[in-house]
Amino acid sequence: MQTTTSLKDSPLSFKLTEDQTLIRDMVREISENEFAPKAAEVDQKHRFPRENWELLAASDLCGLPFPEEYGGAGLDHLTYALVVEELAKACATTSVMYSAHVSLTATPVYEFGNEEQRERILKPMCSGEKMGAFCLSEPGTGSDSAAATCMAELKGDTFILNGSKNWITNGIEADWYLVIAQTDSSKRHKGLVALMVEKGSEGFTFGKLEDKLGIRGSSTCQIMFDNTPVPKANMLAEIGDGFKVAMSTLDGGRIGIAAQAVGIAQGAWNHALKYTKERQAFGKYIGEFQAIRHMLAEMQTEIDAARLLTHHASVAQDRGEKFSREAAHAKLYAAEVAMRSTVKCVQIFGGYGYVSEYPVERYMRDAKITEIYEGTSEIQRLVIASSLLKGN
Amino acid sequence: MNWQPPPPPPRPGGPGPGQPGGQGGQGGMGQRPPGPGGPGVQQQQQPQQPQQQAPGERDWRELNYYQLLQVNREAHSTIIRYAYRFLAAMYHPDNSETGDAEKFRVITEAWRTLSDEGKRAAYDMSLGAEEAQPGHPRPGGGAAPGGAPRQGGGLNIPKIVKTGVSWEEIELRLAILQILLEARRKKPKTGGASAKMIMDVLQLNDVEVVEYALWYLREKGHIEPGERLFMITANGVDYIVDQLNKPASMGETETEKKVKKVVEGGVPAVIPR
Repeated sequence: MQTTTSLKDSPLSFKLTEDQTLIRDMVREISENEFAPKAAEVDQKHRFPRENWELLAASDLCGLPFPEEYGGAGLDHLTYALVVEELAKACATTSVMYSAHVSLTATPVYEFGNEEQRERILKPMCSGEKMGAFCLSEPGTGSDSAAATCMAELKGDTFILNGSKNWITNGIEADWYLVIAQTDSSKRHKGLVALMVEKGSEGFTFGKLEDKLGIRGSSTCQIMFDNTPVPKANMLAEIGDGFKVAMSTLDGGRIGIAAQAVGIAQGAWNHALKYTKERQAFGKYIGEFQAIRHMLAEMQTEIDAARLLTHHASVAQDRGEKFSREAAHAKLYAAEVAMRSTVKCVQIFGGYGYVSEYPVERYMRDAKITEIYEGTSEIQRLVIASSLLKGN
Repeated sequence: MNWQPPPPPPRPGGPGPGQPGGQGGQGGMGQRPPGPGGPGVQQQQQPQQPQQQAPGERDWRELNYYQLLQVNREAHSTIIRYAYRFLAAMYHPDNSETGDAEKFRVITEAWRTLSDEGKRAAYDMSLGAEEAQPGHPRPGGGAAPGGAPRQGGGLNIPKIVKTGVSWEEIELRLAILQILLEARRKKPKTGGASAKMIMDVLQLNDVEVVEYALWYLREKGHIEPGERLFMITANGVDYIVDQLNKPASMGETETEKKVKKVVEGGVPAVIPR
């Protein structure tokens, strides 16, 4: 018979390990003291907070889930989710810069790269010396990534890249770009290849920076390739594996986005809670009104549920199980919770919520992107449904 | 040469199962500690160390404070505090399993120094230049273990203090510029020092004198106020160069003699390569 003692080590104990707690608290403190005070300025000026990146690097966080032999910290993905959440609570721009680097670029290099590529590409990424960016969407193809038209033609030992990629997070700031390109358009997703392209490669240029609704400090732009040579040694896995690389990367990335959404929601909620204890109306604090209390209660319930889904997905990933559906659940739910609850937070602030003097409107704008990137909410439903119908 | 964290403390208070920086083998500056890298990492792999690991003592004494606390040279003060808290719980004499009074003492000393902005800046200077390579944590863990603080080697400021030269204004300016130059070399975009850090490094107590010198340097465009710190400008770098060349070309005034003395004492000797 199963004894209760085994529950202690199970994730069902809902208890973080001491390591996880320690790192979460540490990142929380750094975020509150260093990132939060600048978040509004970063947002208003659309400024990429490079100094935040440097601080993350100095804190040895840039390679968090990778083994120490590659300069990583060798920690689990649950810890990673905790870190992303703490960053997002303070500054969503910083969290997206971080998660695009860790889950979308460094992870595939680790998962699909060979030993030489891990040494050459992953190591400097773990130390924070190099930043990564992930390039899948194109001007004409978003969710339908198999329709990619950015072409990679193999000539001898070199791919020649032509085409463009859209919505590149960490756009002009990154050093390594993971580009999913098509080698044979008749093969659709079976023709895709994953290439690591270095900034400064010939014929590699940037479009203008996008003016976005949220995460405005994050550098997002189009990138263009004009006969850009990419050595075959920079190819992850094999020709034809590009789709697999992209999808597997997005599975992990979704946990990061879910954590980010949870962080945005919780961050806004924290501001709202504080405000309800300060603001008075009709002679009492607004937190004493049932209408406000119900909002706070509902929001926190949903946020906690989203957090548990996120942790559930990361624990599945750490156990080495399939976690596509879990990650999709987490991302879908957390993103929608983030949107819903940040809107409510603005409502609690009333007129002050609508102006940038208070931070909640920023959280609301930042929340929207979580329903869009790394697979829209519609795509998440599609992933979930197809997994369910297959009986997984 | 190897800082080998003992088994984890069996009690709450220190992050459990992990040990700080399983990467002890590197002793390298700047790797993870109780910080992200630390706890929870795979069991300590210490391959590179040939099995000689001469029993503790001398080895860990040779580590510098950053290595002792197992944090990155650039680590944020919060990280240093968490690292200390973790290690202190581990080595506290009250910890019956892993307590070690001597290590606890040394770690506490490291913490006292690194947790104070001014003392930390002074300590960084004393660590010497070759350890202070710019940039981020090198994956390989840069410096060799055994990087104990070298007291007053080569070009670092604290040495001047020992020459006992009294601080004439011009020398003070040069010294300040030198400190700022070092800081900026390490971090070209943001490196600098506050008045307090400068005073700590130079072991000066006279606020007015330092502020006067800072005012002068600022008016002259030799330094610029950064976000929180003063930073040297290109003009300031040129000024150091000029000052170094002067005594050679002109008849020496009293002040210049003193400058020269300071210079020969090993102060600004190295001009940006």
